[in-house]
Amino acid sequence: MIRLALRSLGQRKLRTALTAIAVLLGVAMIAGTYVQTDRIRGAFENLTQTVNRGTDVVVMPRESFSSDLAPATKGIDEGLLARVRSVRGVRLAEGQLTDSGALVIGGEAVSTGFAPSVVSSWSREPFDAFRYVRGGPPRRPGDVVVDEQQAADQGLRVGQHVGLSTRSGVQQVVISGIGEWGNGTSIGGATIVVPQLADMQLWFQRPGDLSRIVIAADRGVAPAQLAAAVRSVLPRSVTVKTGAADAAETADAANDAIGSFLTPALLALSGAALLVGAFIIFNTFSITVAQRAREFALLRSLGSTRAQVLRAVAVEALTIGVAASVLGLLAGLGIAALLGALFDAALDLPSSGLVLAGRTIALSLGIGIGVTLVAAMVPAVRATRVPPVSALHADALTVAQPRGRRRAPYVAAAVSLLGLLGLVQGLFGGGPAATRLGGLAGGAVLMFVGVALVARYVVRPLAGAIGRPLAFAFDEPGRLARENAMRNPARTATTSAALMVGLALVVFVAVFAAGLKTSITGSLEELVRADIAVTAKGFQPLPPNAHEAVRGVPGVYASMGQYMDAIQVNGKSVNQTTDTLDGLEARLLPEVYRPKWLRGGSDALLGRLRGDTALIEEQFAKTHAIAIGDRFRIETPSGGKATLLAIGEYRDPQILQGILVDLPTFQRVSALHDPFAFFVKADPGADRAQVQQRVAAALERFPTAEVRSNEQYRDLINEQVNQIVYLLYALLAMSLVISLFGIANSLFLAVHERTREFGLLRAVGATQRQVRRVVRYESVITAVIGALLGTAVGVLFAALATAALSDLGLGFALPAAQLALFLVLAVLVGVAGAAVPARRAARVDVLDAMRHD
Amino acid sequence: MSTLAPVTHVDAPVATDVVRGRALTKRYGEGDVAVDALRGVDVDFAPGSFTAIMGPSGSGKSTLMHILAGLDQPTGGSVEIAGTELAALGDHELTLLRRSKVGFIFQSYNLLPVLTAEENVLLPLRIAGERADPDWLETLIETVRLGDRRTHRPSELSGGQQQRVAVARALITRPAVVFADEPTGNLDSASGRDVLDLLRRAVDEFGQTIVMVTHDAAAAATADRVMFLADGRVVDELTGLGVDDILDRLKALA
Repeated sequence: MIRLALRSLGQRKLRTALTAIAVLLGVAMIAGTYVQTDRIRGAFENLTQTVNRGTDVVVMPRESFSSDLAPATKGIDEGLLARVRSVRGVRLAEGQLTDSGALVIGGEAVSTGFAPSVVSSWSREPFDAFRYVRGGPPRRPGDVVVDEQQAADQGLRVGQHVGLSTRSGVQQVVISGIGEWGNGTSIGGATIVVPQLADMQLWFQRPGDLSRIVIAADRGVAPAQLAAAVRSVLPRSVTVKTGAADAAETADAANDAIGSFLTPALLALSGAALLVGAFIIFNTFSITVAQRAREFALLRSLGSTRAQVLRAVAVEALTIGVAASVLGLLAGLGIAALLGALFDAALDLPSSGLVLAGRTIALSLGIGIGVTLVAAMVPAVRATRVPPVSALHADALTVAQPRGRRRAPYVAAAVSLLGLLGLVQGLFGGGPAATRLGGLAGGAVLMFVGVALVARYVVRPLAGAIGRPLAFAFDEPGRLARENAMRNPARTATTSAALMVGLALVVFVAVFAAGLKTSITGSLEELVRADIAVTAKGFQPLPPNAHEAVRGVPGVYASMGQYMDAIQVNGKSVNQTTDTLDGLEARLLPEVYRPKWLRGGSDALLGRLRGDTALIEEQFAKTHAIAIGDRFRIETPSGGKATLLAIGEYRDPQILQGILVDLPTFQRVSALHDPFAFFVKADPGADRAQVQQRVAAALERFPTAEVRSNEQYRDLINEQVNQIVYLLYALLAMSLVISLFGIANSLFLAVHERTREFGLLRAVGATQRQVRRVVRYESVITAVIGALLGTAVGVLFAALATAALSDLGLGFALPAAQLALFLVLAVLVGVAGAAVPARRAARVDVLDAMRHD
Repeated sequence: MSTLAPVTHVDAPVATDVVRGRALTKRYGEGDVAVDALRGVDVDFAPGSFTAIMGPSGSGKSTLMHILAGLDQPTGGSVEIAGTELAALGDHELTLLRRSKVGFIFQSYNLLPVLTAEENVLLPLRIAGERADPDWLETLIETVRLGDRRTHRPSELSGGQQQRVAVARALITRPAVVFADEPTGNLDSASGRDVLDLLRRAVDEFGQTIVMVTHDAAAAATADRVMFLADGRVVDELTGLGVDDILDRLKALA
């Protein structure tokens, strides 16, 4: 039997190849996704190791808590350096200072969008993280080293004079060296400029201040031991760690920060790939096994037991599964390279070399082989149930469709419902994040499987409706395509399901992003009274003298600075978005902002905003269970503390989140003394465009400052959302490509199965073109069904997600034009998927077809 | 529909042969393994004639029919259908010729399972993008006795009923010639008789030209003329034969 199974593989080359391609593609997607995830993680580890080069022990300011939003800027007293150096076992100790600032070239600050612009003081060997490509370390005051990527992007050379934006304005610096950071990996688009420590302290107005002290231990001294010794001579305001511990923590934090977006995206991507692959594998086997029902019947009538036949199928499936999965794993490396290029282009995310982890191999092979086996055995069990005699009858071939079991529709509906429950639990339910994420992922998968199962009951009417215009426009070929799409609903359903999965995720992203954009635009229009917004590139604070410059501009009626810091509330950190403290000039607020008061509040409350009073945002009130009249404690990362009284509540989940206090109160608790934004209002009746121009001119000395009208600001946000949306589209495009193969695959098999029908069409006078049309339109109908189902599921997902996030002001919006575009895309997928099978059908030789049986 | 006077078919041969084969040879393979299926065959089929082609397995009868129908190319010789020389035609022109001038009936019916009986009958017209003459359709449906089955799918019809649908399909375009390849091969004798009667009526009542390949003597006896093939040559051509005569003749050939 086993020999027979293997021989049958060899003899049915086309069928074997098509099945193998399905497995290969599915596995390649999974493997590629995991390899790429590992590459990103590897790059971050590499990066943090570089930063901590030569560092055995590191001293940093103690933060009350850490926050991505606002790193502690309260540094370490440089005087502690002497104390550290006196500790036994310390070979070398150096102070480092880090702040944000960008090179200024031709009056423009260098910025790469999302990524930070870092200025960090140079440390001598063994701490120097650069490998110099040209030039060397900053030896004289005014010298700086820049990273190679930035140098390449900006065309910088050693000896060049450029500007550097600092807290004290733009400083003239000379490039002394260009260095490679880490193993030549990109640093996520961040730029780094490295001057001498003394320069930095001067430029950033932080005399005697350090961000950290790096220590190299004497030979034979254990870092942990040394850390303890150093700790014992230093005050409690600093924390002492080993370099290794710090690197691990930083890498984890960076991974978490990026991962909070990337991991779900990649998980969804590989999940989609897996599902699409599974659908295709399952479908291919269902069809081929059905086609072989007769062969099985022959074997059985010759005396094989059912078990023997099934074993033969299992051996076949195993052979295909193993071979195709191994090839798929290799192809996955190619997909990872593709993904890497994509990430690099879209987000400038770093990636290290290709890593083929054991986990990736085990998962890819396990899933590939497992899915192949299951996909092969289910239809085989079904096929062998057919009594041998009836299967031998010629007609059994075309009617090998199993008689619908009565419970099947209920099972399908139950699976979908279960999926919906999982999603709802994940989105709205409580419990730990892991459980909820599990609920989401499991729910989504069940939902897809459920819809694919339900689909077979709606395929007939859907195909009928979609096919009607085709039948009308293209006459007989259109009619036949329509009938063919309707003849085996289960097959059409599974084929279209492969496209559905990818498209559902695309639609989800599109609808979700549209909702995000409209709600942000909405709150900008509703809440902001200012005409102009001034922010700094790369989410840096604005330089201190910039505000005076803006206020002096003729035509500026009012300009309010927005100061921000992270806080802990009543000793707890709950949510980075709501746990923020906004310091504002209460007097100016109503000129530039229109608070949406809750619980009977009014602008009169702004008059009482001073001292220990605070206005709380609705989300903040909810997460911390704080109501008007309550007192609560806050603490900033730099250790500033206050007890505040909530005097009013407002709703603004997007612009001024957290709590609002008067500026003096903010300055009392926060070490961040520069604003993040100015809200500028023009004089009534003044020409706003002109005022904007004047503001921009006044800020020319501050090249990091960016001046935008409300419309421009809105465009910027839309652009940022789009950037992520396009990346996701690109990722999901791969699952669409795979589903294209799925369609091609099942059409190929259908053409093979219907050779006789195509031969007959040719015999009674159908031209090759007409036959091609029959196949093509069936493909288009299948694809459009997939698109409709996918759109429905995607919109449902997006509606659920927006409902779950409605607290954050997220609304629901349908981007109709985009959805229409996706439908057109689906038609194209259908046409493309049909290309090869259609040609094959058209070339059917009439005589061969008539002999064929 | 044109309001002009009916156009006479200028290319329709008047009182001349509908199908004509000259010096037809067919060789499969090359060199030592070459097999000659036809070794110089001249055949003519007059309008309204009903011809059966008989012969033992391997005599070349199916090959001859496929070549006459334009489904296969001869190695040598020429074929003319309704005055058109086939050798000069490309695939597309051949297809169009089949569409308008040739009807087929196959041993295994070959109906499209997704279409109803009536839709299967209309298929050749629909492919050509032409409307059916409703009277002609009714006449055919009545002739093949499918009045109560027109909306049934092939899977709901018996073998005999399916082949009757196939006969109507072959006649719907009023082709110059219908080729029938073992039309009774898959049928029980009663259903077979039925189909043969239909073919006979098509010839007698509608003046249809039919060329039928068969190895069934009873079927051949329905035809006006029986052509015997052996080893790729026409060895005999007789008219007005009974079943017994045909059986004797076949025995002599074998």
